Amino acid sequence: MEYQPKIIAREPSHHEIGAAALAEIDQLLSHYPQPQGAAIDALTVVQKYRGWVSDHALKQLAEHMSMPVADLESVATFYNLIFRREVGKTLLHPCNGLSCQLLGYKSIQRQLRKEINIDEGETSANGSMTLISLPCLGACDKAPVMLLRESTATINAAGKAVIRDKLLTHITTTELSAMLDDFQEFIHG
Amino acid sequence: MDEQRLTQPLTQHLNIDAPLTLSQYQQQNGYGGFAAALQLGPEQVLATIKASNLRGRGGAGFPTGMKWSFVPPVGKGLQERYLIANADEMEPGAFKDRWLLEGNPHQLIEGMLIAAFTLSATTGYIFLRNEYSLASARLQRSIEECYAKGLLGDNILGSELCFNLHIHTSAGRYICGEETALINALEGKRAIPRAKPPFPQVAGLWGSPTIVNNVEPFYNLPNILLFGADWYRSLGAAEDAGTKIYGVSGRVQNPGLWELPMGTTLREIIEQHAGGMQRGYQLRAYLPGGGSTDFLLPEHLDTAMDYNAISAVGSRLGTGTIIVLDDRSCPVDAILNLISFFAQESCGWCTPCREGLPNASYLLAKIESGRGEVKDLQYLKDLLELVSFGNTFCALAPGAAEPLQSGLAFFAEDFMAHIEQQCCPYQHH
Ligand SMILES: Cc1cc2nc3c(=O)[nH]c(=O)nc-3n(C[C@H](O)[C@H](O)[C@H](O)COP(=O)(O)O)c2cc1C
Ligand code: SF4
Ligand code: FES
Repeated sequence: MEYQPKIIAREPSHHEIGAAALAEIDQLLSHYPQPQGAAIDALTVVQKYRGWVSDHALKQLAEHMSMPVADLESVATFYNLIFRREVGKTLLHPCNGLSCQLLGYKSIQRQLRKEINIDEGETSANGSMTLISLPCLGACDKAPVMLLRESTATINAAGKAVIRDKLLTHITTTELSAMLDDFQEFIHG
Repeated sequence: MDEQRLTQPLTQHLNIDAPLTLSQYQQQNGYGGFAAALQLGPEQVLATIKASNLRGRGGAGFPTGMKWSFVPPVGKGLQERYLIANADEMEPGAFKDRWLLEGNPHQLIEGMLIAAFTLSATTGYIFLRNEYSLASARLQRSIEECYAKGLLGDNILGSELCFNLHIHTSAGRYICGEETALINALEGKRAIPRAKPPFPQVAGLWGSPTIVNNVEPFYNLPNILLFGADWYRSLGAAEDAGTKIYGVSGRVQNPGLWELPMGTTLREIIEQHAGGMQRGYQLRAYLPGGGSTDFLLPEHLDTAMDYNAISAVGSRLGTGTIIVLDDRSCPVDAILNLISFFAQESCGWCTPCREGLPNASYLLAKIESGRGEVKDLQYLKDLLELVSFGNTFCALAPGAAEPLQSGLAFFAEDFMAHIEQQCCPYQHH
């Protein structure tokens, strides 16, 4: 697999929240006595269909939920897994928690940078990958670990929009490249 | 299985590859504890939980029955009551709730039903960590099975009980695990802790009485109802009741999780179950209950892993998941890892934490990279004072201080070696 160097922040495309996303959001609204309760879930749904939450989508969602845009924005920016900038097709989330650090996170991180040529928070030029380390992923007995996930949902056999992911465990620097290729194959082919 | 031989009530039906479906779980007497609760009635259930001495498993170990008894009786004030399972699990080194949820989601739902019945709760939320997608899918499927068979929804099993259960998927941030911050997140706000009092049991989610419990206590409830408080208390090896999920990670032979009698010794957990250290590594120290507990040393290995015994030697049971530090890893770098996590996760609401933790992280990075000065050690101690209990709005910052304060004491020579040699002495190994 060939990775091209360095990032570019792409111009936000015109983001609209589609009918499928709105239907999911309305379903979630029924879980809460007040619409605002569904704010985080709703942002997650928008992101699931679009990969990230643009200004346009934020405004549209605020209107749909009868919430001030500023309130929704303040929520969207608080939570680190709501993305307010475009991200790559695949999110690489190596765990930087202590148990993973003790078992070699730093050399994994170095190897990763070498292979995909991007730094923390960056997206590869071809838009295929974004690197965001996360704290302890709750799989410390399998350290070091890395979570790979699609940024945008795929429609599964049952017709549901789902984000596919995979937790790589007991990672070694020599196997890292093959592990990444496997995931790409898994989601693209 | 009869109660005499039931020594692993939390995990006896756990199956990570293929968790039990509703009907399979019911064939194993699943939801039998809930049926027993319906027979007993709410007051008797509460009395049983109190008598069992079940304590919280989210870190502080507050007695579960006592917490529940603070909920005002129905008929006074707001009618709505909320029940929340805290499945945020973001404590560094904690991985027990994921195991339970992936392995047997129905036991969580059964525990929540027992609690809902006792507390007259009408709505429940499972506050689930975002990254736990497998647990989410399995919980969702189990919830749907329960609705289809009349175990959730209106008039459950023909009783008066109406209980709806939803999964709330978090969008990150460690502070969401703090129960009042969690409540703000559920209300669709920034997850910033609330002032206490009022306590959530009295005025929580949307102002209504709200109970937040960690995932693990819910897994305890069904069998307490089936076999009684005496049986449950007898499971403990030392002072505390029941069993506990213990975990070990780090450079041990066999990292993992085990359900063992509450109060099993650290030595048995680390040496026997985790198989001791990997070849070529020595045990240097360990955090007994996750990243926000004080370090303990090999000399403490014969301590029972329960609330009081661990406190007596200067740390906390916390989540019961142990992180082992070996002799070839730099303790300063380990502490830096933890403190930079806590600094990053500070919600920013109160100044001591917002300013103190990033400063501590900066000083530790300075020392670790060989630029430290002797006076930095005093600065670190001053910062510990700044973020201690009483000076901050919630327990995040005092928790963060624990590994740092014990680390400065236990690894004083390592800190000095970094400063004197102007480098990390472990980098050469
Ligand atoms: C910063 C912070 C993070 C916390 N994270 C969690 C968590 O992830 N899971 C949890 O059960 N409790 C967590 N707690 C403890 C909760 O506030 C609460 O006490 C607990 O969920 C109550 O459950 P218990 O009675 O079973 O202990 C956290 C506390 C603090 C201060
Ligand atoms: S101690 Fe830290 S996390 Fe807690 S309220 Fe203060 S700033 Fe927020
Ligand atoms: S430290 Fe990486 S999974 Fe816990």
